Amino acid sequence: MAARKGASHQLSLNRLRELMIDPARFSTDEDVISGYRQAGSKDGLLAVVVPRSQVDIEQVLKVARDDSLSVYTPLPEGLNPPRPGVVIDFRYMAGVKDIDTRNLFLEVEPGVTWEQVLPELAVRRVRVALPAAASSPYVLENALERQVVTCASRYTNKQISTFHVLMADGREYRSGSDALPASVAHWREDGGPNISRVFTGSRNSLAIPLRGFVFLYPEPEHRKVVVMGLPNRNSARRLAERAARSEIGTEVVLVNKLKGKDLLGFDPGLPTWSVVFGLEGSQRLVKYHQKRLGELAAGLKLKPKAGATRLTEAFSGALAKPWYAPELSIGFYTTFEKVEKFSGMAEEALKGHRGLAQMIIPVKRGASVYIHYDVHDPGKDAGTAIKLLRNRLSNSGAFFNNPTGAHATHIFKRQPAYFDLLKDIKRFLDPDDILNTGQMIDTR
Amino acid sequence: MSELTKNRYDPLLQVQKDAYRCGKCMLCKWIDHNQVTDTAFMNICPSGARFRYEAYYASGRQEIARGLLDGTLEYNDRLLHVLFTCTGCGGCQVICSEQGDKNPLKTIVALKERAFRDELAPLPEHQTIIKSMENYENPWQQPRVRRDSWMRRMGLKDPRKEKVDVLYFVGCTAAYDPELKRVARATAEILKRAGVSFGVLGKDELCCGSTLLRMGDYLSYERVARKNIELLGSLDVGRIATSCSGCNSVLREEYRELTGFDVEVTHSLELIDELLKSGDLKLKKKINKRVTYHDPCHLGRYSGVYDTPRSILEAIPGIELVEMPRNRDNAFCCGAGAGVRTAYPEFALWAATERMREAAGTGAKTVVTACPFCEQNLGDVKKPRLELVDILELVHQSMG
Amino acid sequence: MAVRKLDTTAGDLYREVKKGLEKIVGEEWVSDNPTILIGYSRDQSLETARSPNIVVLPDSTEQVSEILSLANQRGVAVTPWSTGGNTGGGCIPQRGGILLDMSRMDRILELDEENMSVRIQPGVTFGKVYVEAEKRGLRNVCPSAPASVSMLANYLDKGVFQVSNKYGVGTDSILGMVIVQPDGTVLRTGCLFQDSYGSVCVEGPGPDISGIFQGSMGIFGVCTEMVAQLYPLPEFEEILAAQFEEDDLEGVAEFLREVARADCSFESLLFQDAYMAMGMAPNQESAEVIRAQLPRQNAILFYGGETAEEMEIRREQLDGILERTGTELAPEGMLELLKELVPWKRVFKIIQVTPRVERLTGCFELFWFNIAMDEVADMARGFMKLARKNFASTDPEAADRPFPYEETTFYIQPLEFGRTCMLEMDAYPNQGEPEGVKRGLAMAAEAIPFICGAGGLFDRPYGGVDSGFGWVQTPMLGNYYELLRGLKRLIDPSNTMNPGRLALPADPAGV
Repeated sequence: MAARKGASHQLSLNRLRELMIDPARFSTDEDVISGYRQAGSKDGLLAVVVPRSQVDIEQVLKVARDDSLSVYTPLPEGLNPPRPGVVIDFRYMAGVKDIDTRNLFLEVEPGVTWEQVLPELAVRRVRVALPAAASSPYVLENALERQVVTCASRYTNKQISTFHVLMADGREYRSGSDALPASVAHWREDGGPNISRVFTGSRNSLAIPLRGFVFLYPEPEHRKVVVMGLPNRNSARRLAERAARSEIGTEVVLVNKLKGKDLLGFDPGLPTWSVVFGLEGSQRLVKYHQKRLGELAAGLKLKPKAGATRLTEAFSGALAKPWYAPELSIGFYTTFEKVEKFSGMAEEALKGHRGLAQMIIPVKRGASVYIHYDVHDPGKDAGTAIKLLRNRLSNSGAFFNNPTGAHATHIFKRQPAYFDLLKDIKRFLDPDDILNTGQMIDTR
Repeated sequence: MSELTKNRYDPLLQVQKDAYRCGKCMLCKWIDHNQVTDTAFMNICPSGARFRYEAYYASGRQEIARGLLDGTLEYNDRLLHVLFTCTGCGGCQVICSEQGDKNPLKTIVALKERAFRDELAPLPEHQTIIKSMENYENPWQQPRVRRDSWMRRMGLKDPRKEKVDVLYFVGCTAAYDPELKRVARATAEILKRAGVSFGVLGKDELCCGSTLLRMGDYLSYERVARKNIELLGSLDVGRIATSCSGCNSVLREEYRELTGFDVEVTHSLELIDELLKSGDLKLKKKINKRVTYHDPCHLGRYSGVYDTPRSILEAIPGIELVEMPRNRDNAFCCGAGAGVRTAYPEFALWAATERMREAAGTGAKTVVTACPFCEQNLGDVKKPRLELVDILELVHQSMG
Repeated sequence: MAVRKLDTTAGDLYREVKKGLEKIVGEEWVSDNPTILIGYSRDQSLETARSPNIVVLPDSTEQVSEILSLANQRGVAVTPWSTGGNTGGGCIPQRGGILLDMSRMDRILELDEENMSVRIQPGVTFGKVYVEAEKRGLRNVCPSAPASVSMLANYLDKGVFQVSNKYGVGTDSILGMVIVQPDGTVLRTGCLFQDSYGSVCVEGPGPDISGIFQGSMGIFGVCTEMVAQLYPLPEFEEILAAQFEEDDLEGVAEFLREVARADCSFESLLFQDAYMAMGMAPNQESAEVIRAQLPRQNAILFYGGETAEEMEIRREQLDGILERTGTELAPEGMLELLKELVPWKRVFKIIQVTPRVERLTGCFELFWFNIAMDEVADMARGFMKLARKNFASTDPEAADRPFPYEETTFYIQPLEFGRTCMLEMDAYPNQGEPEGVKRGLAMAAEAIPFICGAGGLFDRPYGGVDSGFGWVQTPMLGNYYELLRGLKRLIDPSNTMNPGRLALPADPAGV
């Protein structure tokens, strides 16, 4: 690590202020900065920088390298910087560069939000996979971090094709076929070993995103949302698993009553458990799938209650929007037969906090499953309980695909060789350890 | 190597195109994937399955042929081991001829012949067989006078003295092996019972030469074959029936490539099948057995006879046939052929054990086959221990 | 006749290494005999044959770890080899050393029917998994490579399948891996990160480092175990064939794009007549007869579902696309011939086309790259021009030969809603003749820059220095190449793992 050049970093901050020019793009105001910090964290963040372009970010990185400042990007749970630095906010890098309806790619800068892009897509009759537990409003971040989408059953969580990033030393890196100057295919696989994947799920610890190509999907010929009510989680799970494996439903989502209320904003007669299917295809196919759901349920000796129009319309509307995960929430992956086990563990650990909103989403045609809890009416120490629960679940075999901070370290330490390689890669790509220092890969 | 040898024709030249066209698809290691039912039994190549190095498979042997042709490979002991652990079962041939339009078995035979040409073969163990053939006209080092001991007091006809329709060609193994003489006796009694006009050559019967051919000693084989062709050709018979699959394939296929032999040759099973269908032979006695059938390579892949033994088994009252996962043209070799049992008895036993394990997996307690070589080698397996019986014996028992 | 160099020198170093290997796996499973080595010196590509110095056959991850550790300490190159099915020279040692034959590691360790996954070793073939999965109503996704090919190696190598539009490429079916790194350290990724995860379908944890080992030909380590996704086997399945005129490559691309976007078929692909005929026919003679009956371009689609009704609905969707795009169905007779000649009920329906293609001249030059659907037509035409130029024969018998060398064939595989496709263009140099090899290499030298220059990305840039796509393409990839070199220095500083690939140096000091 380079020697510190100035404890106060004031000169660097001045330099950054000059480079950003517009006062709206640079702030050292504590009220502004505190919004990016983790609760209870006091030090470390010196300023917020709002770049407009790649050039701006290059300049930030240069200043950071020269002065051993860290460069952070926002994290859902907030930053806990072990070293002084600035945080980059992408809100001004919000260009929707291209909506290619022929080849089904959406090219976006990191500051593009769901709210910004969805109307554009609707007009062009294409769609994007919407997040089921987004940690931020940013489309590219969701895709790069492989966050769960409502259509994970049919389309999986891998929604990013190629992307361009800026490495710690200021060099631009392009993934997949974008590395080949003449290519326009935006093919996600690299021209050799898939080393680009190391940037995905890295919470910007290895590079800063500049733009990305996110998958689009054609609007279906016909679409219908079907809601089936079941009395308990087990029966809901069984139906969802079976349906997902029959490749029924673009979206397949299970929600308990409380989660349903969260998503819909009200209770239009929610059952204990709702299994929501987004059926798409030709009119005949949709009808067939709806019929088939009934057959599958009967085969499982289940008697789901068909959702009333009000309910299905409400869910239909909800599925057209991104779903956000509140701060006090926990989400992880497992296999179907462990749903009860891990749900039990979570509910036991969080029982002191009234109201657990649960959501379950089959992944990859029902081969795996994502489980999510939002904690309602959190009592004291809910945050601590969630942190402890994360570790406990990890130890027991629940998979957290992008952990951060202490939780990340906890997981990585379970396999020293893996952690060693991660650290080596971090040191290789970011020798001065300036990118999101200590937020995911702690090399100390 | 002598000057004469060096200047002799290189058998590899006739397979050069195949050796260079091998695209390394590796299908020659496996049975036809569309026939696989049990993945524990998918291998088709015994030497490959045992020794595992690429060289021991047909694809590797093609590469060896190429190396010898282009001069980048020289003979060494390992090379001889690679060549002569091939039993010549033809398993690689089945899939490669269909998918790759090539004849890997021909390459392997050419490699062996070349080793003989270059005086690096025979192996010391095979030398014993060759000497036996020279001295006794059979590979078992048994005197000629004992060749007809199996037929004592049976009163069988001599086709040189009496007109008969069929020559029953016994083969060396059934004639000499004390455990297998019963097969010869059973065959003769079946033919008698069915009223077939047949004769035997007794102690004047000559070895067919199959072992020499499969070992790669083509010159010695040719000498034996021509002598046999002359003898067999001098008989006034319409048909020759054998009870050894090895004899069957040589007399039926390879003799035709030499001049002067055009007598119809079948395995005695085919004759018996005809007799059953015509009603000349009736099987009345019930034999309550659950059996599995081992397709001998020389009857199956070499001669294309798969249905006949099964049809016969079906005709025997009480027999329940269960097939092994590798059956018909996918059958796994017993491990004895081409002199392998003589030169590499441990490997031959390994292959036989693999086959018997497969047989045991069917739930059958009895393995039925139609080749004395197979019976010899499979019979050496101690574990799993299954009853081993020639199909001709079952027919004989069921005659009552 | 080409004379190949076989460097079988066994100096003191290799003798010591051999002793070390024998201690690890037992004497039986180590050999430096030329007869053994030659079996690994060549594949069907135009890559010069090169032998390893020693072959070793391990039986477990632990043994592989010890072997790599030993090799690393002694600076000896290691080339991994699973079942030898590589078609591009990827397993031909560029610097001698140890050939790690993993075919003894041929066990299916677990088949989890409940969670639709299988845990396999490198020596497990597609055929083996297919049979076991089929018993449980499941299937693995298979490429048009022979059933004898390693499933682990193919997935790791980004295999592309006829179901890729629906299920992605090989890397999309990898759930977890055990990797032995060059120094012998064992790494577990994805669902194998820890034993208690089960076969969960996610990347990570954290940054997806498993990508480093994908498509890497073992230059970063050896994969000794993999958990792979399985998929439901359709109860009902039927085949549909559509035809196009020779020059209507634009029509072809449009049709395939529409089918891909509708996501209404399991498998969708396009074969040109020569390729199709080779895949259907048991020998070249009958291939030529069949070819004369085939349309020039053949789109083959497999559709179906859980029920007959679903299959009918899918057919209806396809009929709609046929009508919208003005595409003709292939003659009924062709379809019947296809069904009769190819055992199509098992997944190997057209899968064994590769050995049939290889039998023509023992070699086919596989130019296999990713491109946007709109660029297919121009690329195909340009490539055919190059093939005719390089293979135009002065041989008077050439005209009578089935598929003259200048007759390139191709195969289009749409991917992911038709966003892009894999385009395979094949030429058939005669690798048994020096002139044939020369023409083939000349073709590669022209075609690879042409393809890359037109935007085609070889995402599996096999090969060594003679014919390797990687040697031409990788330096064009800007900072990707820099990163690749850096990671190679980081993970394999001694440059022992399959050196001489992807424009990375072969010698130990090179990186």
